[in-house]
Amino acid sequence: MRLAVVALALLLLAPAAAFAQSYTNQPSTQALDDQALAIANELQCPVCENVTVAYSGSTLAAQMRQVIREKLAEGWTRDQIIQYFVDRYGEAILTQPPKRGLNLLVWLLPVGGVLAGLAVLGTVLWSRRGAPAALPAAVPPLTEEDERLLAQALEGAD
Amino acid sequence: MAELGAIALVAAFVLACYGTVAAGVGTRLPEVALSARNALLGMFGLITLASLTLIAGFLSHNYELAYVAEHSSNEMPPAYVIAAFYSGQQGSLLYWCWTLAIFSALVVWLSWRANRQLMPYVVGVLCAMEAFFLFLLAFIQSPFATLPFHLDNGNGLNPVLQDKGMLIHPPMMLMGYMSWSIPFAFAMAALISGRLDFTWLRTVRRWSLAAFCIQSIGLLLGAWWAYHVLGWGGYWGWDPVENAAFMPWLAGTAFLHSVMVQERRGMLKVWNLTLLMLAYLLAIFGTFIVRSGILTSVHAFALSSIGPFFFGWLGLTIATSIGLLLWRLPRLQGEAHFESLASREASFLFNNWLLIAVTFAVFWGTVFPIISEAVRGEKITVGPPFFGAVNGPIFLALMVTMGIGPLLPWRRASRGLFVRNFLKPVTATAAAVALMLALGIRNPGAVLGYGACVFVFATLVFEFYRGTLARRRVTGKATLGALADLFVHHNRRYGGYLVHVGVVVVAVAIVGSHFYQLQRQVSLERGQSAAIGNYRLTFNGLASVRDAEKSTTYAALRLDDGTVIHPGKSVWARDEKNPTSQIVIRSTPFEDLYVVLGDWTPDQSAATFLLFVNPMVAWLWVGGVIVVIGTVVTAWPHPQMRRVQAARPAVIAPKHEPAVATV
Repeated sequence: MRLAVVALALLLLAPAAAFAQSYTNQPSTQALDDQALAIANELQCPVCENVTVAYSGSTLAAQMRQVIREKLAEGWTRDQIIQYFVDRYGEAILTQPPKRGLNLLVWLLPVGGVLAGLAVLGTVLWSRRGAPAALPAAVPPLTEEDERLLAQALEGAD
Repeated sequence: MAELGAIALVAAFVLACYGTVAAGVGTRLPEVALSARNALLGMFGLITLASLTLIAGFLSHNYELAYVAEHSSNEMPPAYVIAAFYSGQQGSLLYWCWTLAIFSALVVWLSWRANRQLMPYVVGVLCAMEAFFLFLLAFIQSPFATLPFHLDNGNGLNPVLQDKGMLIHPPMMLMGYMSWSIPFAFAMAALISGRLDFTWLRTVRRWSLAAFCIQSIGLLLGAWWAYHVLGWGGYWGWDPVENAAFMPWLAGTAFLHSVMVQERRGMLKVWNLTLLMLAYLLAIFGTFIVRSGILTSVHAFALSSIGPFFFGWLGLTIATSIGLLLWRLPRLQGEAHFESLASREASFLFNNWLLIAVTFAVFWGTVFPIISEAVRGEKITVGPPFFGAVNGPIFLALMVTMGIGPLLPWRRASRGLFVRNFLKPVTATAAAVALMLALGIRNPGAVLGYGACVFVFATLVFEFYRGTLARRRVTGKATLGALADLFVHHNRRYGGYLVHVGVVVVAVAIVGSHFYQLQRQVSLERGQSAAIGNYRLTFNGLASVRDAEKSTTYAALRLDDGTVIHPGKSVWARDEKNPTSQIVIRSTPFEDLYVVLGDWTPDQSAATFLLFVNPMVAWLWVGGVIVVIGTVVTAWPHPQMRRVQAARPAVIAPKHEPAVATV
């Protein structure tokens, strides 16, 4: 029982201790800050539009940043912390969908589209390459008058 | 007041419907065509009246109007009260509608005489497009809906939007979306009438340049606003709203290039029409995803009253466009063929392929979350990592194409010409890459990116040099005079090159800030200091200022050169959970120091800061301005051309120039 109380007290005090610690700019805390920033930058702020937790000014994001620091101070890994948030907010909180299942379509379709475009382009260019240019359809056939003028001009040119 | 606006909108809707029908009849009977034109002008007057009524409602704080009550308050400065006009759904639709009416009236004024045969069709299409928006405004989402009770004060404007950038960025953006309607209307008119000759293309090219210019300004202002207000250290976040604005711009850019192939060689007619349709559809799609609520959730879309209408309009437009294209296919045969891969037209095709590839990737990344939620019921986010990974290589290829294309002649390039044109730019690029490696720039992305920048810039310098030399020989002018002559007499070509120069400068900024951004999050107690890049900042304390709407806390940070900067954070009374940042940016030509105040302890003795060093960002704005100036130069009416057009309003046959290496 005594052990449980001590454990509970430690659990409650840990965040406060982490908070106090995060406001002293010791080299070790700086490493923690950098790590926290990197993780926060991988999470989308759930209440804002298209800002990561790292840069959002919202209260929720501030709390989330605090949680990340606490967890890091407690020795959680990056993956554990990200999973912690995914469990709570769903996969929409990740800045990019996990690369599995139907989500792979996000990546595959653009590549497929680019290649399909290249194929079309190749067909257009290759099938016509080297073919003599057709006469423009808009040019009407020469009239007799044209022929006469042309002959005259050619004579004059000599 | 509410009645006046509402009646004006209904009357404008009636006139738009009449104009559409009358224009159809008017293609046979000239007097009726004149009546359709007058209907369009009358509609312009009525929409202007409705818009001014709403602005008057805002300025007089008329909270009887639900829209005014929702988007403004007594405390707001007058400029923001006017800006509130386009800050909500109804107002922004009205603004869209109004700018389209202004542009339509301009089209009639500028082109009615020159394009007498085509104009009734154009007027008809413009009226039909207006009718759709006016229908929404008059019957579905009226900006003049009234409240059944009395209010003394309004709700106010979203704090993030209360920024100087907001006075100009949204109207530019919405106008940019709208402006793709004009080229589209001409394309539709050409298809319906069957007048698919050269004349409409010239007019359309200029209106497309206008749309490109307006959208470029809109995108640039958006980037500026994001960088100076949002506080995440960047200017472009690939967020759906940005993507939505980027897509029509990309399709339009593809058109502005491939249309030259049609003008010169009579090819790609179907493709060019398709690009114009794509630009318009993406513009409507952009307006729609920004305004329908579909971004927040599919369910918000289902509940929004305008979503289904937009969807219907998109479907109708796609069906009509494809139907017309198929119907006119026999008249859209190309007049020439591709002869070589090493030709100007082939390079334009490559450019189109790459631009459309970016458009497609951006489109897919933007709609995938929506599809995922609709199909699987699972919301996901597709963020910057995806867009960067997919589009980065395509942008690089685009840059290379931009360097190669202008140096290739039409039809085919001989081996000798190829070597002659590319020897110097390639040498310059190799030298630059060697220099970068020697200086320790080893990041592959940066080396490739800057290599491409140098290559394109070298080809452009080469082109300007050759042009100036030729001009000097012909006119006998001094070098500077000859250079200026290029812009006056060959404004299309050299204006286009100026746009390319701008793009290179923008690329310099993007590559630098993308690959070499430094960022740190630091927690400082009073008196402590932190270093980032070449800067050291010492935290001197916090102070708070309070006014009617918000309470702002400023931090004092001393830089090593003795200057003190004051990044701050405002907590707004109406939205305490979403504070806004007062970011401090210290800009130099080579890098920006970007400081954001984060959180602080209740006793104000310690605070966290986000620090960024963003290399080269200043060049983004410089490059953007060059792009805009270049576009204006390109679109500027050539004095000679204006005379020719005035003298010969009839059809001008497409010119087929011999395949000479261009000067």
